[in-house]
Amino acid sequence: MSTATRFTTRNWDEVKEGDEVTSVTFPISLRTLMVDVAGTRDLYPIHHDREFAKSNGARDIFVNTMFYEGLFGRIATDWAGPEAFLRKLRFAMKGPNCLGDTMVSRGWVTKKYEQDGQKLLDLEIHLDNQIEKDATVANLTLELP
Amino acid sequence: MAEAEAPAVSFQEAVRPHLNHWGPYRITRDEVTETAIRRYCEVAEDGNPVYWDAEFAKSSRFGRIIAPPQSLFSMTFAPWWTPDYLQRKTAQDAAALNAADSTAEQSPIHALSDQYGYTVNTVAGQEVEYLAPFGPGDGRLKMRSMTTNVSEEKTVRVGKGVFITSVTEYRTEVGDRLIGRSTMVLLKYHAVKE
Repeated sequence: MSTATRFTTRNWDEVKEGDEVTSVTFPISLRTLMVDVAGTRDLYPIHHDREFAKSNGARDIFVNTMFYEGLFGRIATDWAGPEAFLRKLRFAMKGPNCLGDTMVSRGWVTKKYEQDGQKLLDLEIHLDNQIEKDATVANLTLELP
Repeated sequence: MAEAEAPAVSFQEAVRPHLNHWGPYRITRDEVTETAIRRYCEVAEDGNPVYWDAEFAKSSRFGRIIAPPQSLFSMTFAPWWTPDYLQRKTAQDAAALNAADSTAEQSPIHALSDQYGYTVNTVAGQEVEYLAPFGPGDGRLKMRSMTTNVSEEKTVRVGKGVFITSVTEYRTEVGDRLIGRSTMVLLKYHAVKE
């Protein structure tokens, strides 16, 4: 079956600053962290070895940098559509998202502008968990067709 | 573990001569493939059809399956195991890329930070610019880095550490297109034992 009719990309002209970016909820199980290691190729033990993580000051094993890259990119294109292209991504990891935590995103459009012929949107996306608000805060620039 | 003797100069002084020099190009062992893209997409459960569906992707403005731009870092991560002969071949390929540039030097900053006791590392922040789409057909990926700044020692919640800032450039093997540029701030710290 063709997917061609099932996915549409937002029209830049219709987006407004302040528009909400659809929230995504992501619980972190041991499986999440195993798939994270396998898919992002990051073998650093702080993300899969609980003893190592705890003896290095962490609450528990936690998702890695590339997990956040993947999740923020996904949140952006889930909302904007498949032909949106991520142009810039920056984020601050203020606190870890650990095994057993559930991440919930909150996001909105902070700026709409044209630059070098590109139709751009700046997004701000926060990840909260049940212990900490703003555990991770990201700024993205998305280019729409 | 025995306490290492404190070196004569500060960490910041020791690294200063090595700041702002491009390191040599490295090249990935493997090409960007649909399989690698799918395994990456499984992590955050990203179903975007331009990463998965050849038919959809072909009709999109990208004209082909592309990798999630944000997968650049994972796609260039060191492989887990490589046979010796392939390791040698990849090293030779990288050496050929650097033949024209005799000034590139492998940064000793991470080895130095280990010597100064900053042995545990975590990414404190990063910004990546994705300059062009990439995907299957672009071959392997090439990258080179330079360290641009090292902070004074700071006290953070996990111990005492330094923040190391570096810039990395990413290019495709086929067509030598610049596809990304990242700035990363790495925290390397002394772990505090209870």
